[in-house]
Amino acid sequence: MSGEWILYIVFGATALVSAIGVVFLANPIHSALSLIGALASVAGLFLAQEAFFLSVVQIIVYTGAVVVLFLFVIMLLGIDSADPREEQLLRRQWFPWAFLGGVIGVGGLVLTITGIDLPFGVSGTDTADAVNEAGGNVQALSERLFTDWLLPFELTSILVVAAIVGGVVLAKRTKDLRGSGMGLTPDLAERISEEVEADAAEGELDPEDAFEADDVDPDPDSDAVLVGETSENGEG
Amino acid sequence: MSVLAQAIPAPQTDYTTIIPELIVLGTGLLIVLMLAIRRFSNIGWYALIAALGFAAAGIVAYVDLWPEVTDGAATYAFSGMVAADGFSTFVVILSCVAGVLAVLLANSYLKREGLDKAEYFALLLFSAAGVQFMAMANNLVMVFLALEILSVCLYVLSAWNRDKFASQEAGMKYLLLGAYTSAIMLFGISFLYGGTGTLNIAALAQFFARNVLENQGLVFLGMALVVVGLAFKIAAVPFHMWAPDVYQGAPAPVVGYMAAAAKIAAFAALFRILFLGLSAMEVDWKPLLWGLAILSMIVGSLLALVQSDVKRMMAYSSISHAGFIAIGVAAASAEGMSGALFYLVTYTFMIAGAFAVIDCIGRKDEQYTKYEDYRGLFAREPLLAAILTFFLFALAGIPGTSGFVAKFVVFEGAAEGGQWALIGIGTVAAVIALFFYLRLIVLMYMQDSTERPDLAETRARVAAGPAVVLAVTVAATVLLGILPQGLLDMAGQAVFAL
Amino acid sequence: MELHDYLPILVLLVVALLFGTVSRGLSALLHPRDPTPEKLDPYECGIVPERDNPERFPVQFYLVAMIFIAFDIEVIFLYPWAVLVRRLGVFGLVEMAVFVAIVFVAYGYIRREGVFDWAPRKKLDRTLLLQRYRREAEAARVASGASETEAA
Repeated sequence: MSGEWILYIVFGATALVSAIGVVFLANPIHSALSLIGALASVAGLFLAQEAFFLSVVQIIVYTGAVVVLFLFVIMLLGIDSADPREEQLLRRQWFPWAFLGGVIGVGGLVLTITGIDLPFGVSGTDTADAVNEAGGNVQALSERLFTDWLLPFELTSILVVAAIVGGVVLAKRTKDLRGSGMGLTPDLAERISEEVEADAAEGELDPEDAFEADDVDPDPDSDAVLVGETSENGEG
Repeated sequence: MSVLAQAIPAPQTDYTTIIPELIVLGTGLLIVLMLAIRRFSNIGWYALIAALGFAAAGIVAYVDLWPEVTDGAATYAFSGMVAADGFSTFVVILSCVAGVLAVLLANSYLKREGLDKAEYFALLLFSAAGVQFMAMANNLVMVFLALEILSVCLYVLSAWNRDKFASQEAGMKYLLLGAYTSAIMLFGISFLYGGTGTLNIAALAQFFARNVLENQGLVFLGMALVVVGLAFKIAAVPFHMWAPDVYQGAPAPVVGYMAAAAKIAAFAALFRILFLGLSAMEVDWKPLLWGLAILSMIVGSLLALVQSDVKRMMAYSSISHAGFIAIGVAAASAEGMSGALFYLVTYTFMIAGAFAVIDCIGRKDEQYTKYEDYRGLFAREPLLAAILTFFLFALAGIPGTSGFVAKFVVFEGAAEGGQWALIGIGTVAAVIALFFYLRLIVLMYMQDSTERPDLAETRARVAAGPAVVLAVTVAATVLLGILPQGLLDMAGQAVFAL
Repeated sequence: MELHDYLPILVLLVVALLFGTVSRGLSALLHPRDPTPEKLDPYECGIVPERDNPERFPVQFYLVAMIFIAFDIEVIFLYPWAVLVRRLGVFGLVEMAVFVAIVFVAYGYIRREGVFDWAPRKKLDRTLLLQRYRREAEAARVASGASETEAA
């Protein structure tokens, strides 16, 4: 048993167990933590393949950032407000089918792959040579990435820009007047004007207001300027 | 250490092959940059910039690239990441046309609904670049990356009317299911790589030419999963579940673009991967495409019969059209491929026109999209009703319209390959399809006590943009129905040298 | 770089796991159980909490987390480039400059959209917004009649 095998079995087992935990744990926070375990185990599998850079990226991006995002969502939605009955319903309806699909899928995978004589261990030599020649894992990757894979690399930036713009435009309510056309209505302007005057009479700004999104607009249906979401004014 | 200190030579780059894409991407970035500096209150300016960008890219592709690539040989650029050939250039031009139509449709819609944020056009441009790179991609990772760029933009555009529950639902469903199928496709790509040791589509063909696999399991699995991922994008049965909800919930101008763009992109990738990369596995993928084509045609047409919402009906109609186009792939011949390309062009025009009408009739908030609202439409809106009737006939494939020619050339391609069963089932599906289009048409011309007097008081407003779109699409549909030869020749030049 | 270079990380992992399980286990075994409501209260930097946690947080948090991931990806690309920066030469520099410039456009966009504005400036903003609104309304009044805008 080589070291690679031991690592493969250990991390493979933890990945599997954590992945099952993600699905079956009742508390979403526990699921997310289990997901960290699964992703970290995959990083370990990459390590066993001597893909060091990939392994570290896996930790930084997935466990470091993506799961944090998941936790944010759980926090944003409020873990207490989840209705357990809905979850029950969902599980009851879909579980047998999902299970069946999973069994068929995994079975198919195992059947197709075991039927093939893969030259295990042979195909890796090219990569190992290339890595040695380049002077290291990251170097080899970098050399390929910035020459042959130039176009995909640059296109990734477009993907990132599209994702950022899309995310901001959907999540953020800029009902301000910076010419977005989604401006204040006369009614709302009137109301804000009154509020501002009242506040001015009262005194200074209250720092606590920054996190109370609900009190700006008494009418939740009209999309007033939400606190903390107003942006720097174009006129400065 | 001498090797390690050597400078790495700059890679081979050939920017001339991707000028149209660079123009489209550059325009999109320009819009984002403008938004970062200063926002104009009238989004008409951004619409103009986007339309100019699409037009410039399309003209460059047609004038500059098209004459060079029609000889059938492909130019590989960026270390074989992209291929510029007749096929890719054809699709690039088509996506630019779809983009211009989408911009024209969106401008007035966004203003009417108070959703006028210029980011719309930036995302539109990025998504079109995704379509174009998918058509050019000669590397499976490029296919995936382009597909993701396209998809991310479409997810956001579907949810654009974010205060409307249906639109949120559309975006969310599309995102979740789309991300899932993207993962499946990536899985497939990894199997293909594992089985062949290359991601380059042209090199895949060489691999199969040089090697005979004792057991094709791994490669077959990879191919099947890639087909599943792309079949989701074209909304082919049984991967169509998302389409009705997304088509119904997303804004009409978005659907008018998305229905065409997603199909163009996914079919382009299918053609290149299956016809060029995996042509040696024809016996394996042909039955899959067969199944997809037949199921899509039949299930799409049958379910469209029982709908009561026009946008939902159009979703099922688009599913059945995906089936018809898939015939062109399943035929596995040059004729089938050129037929499918022609079909995609006509479909782009028809769907943009039909959704322009649906948008106008829907009025503010798209509140009138039920069949009930179309009852007696001809009496209230004779012109819009007539135009919609025309498009529905064209979609059904009535002779004299481009829809008929499209179905004809696709069937012709299948006939060349001796696929008579496909043609037979396609004909049956076309007849069923005629029924559900007729059902709506009859409703529009019906005059009885249950027609909508509340709608008769005001006329639907047709803004300048949709009016231009309607004029162009009607003209194109008529023209391609009567004189299809020019485009047929172009599509014929665009096919791979098989 | 070989696999056994990662042995210290493995050791650290094992030590961390041991530390966690041993200290949890020991405290579970040894501590006296005497819960009072005060002891079970959420701990807020030693201050007695005055109110419950808010059920929902502003979407602002989420936006920042999302944008963090986007830039995280950018940084991941910077790392292999930095490793080979000399060998990649001017071409590599230009490549990376283009990449960073494109992402920087998005940064300018989110900056302008005010995603990073967290200061308690609600009222300040509202005043400015109002001024702007009045100015635009005035301008619109002047320009009215020039063109009929489309139905709202």
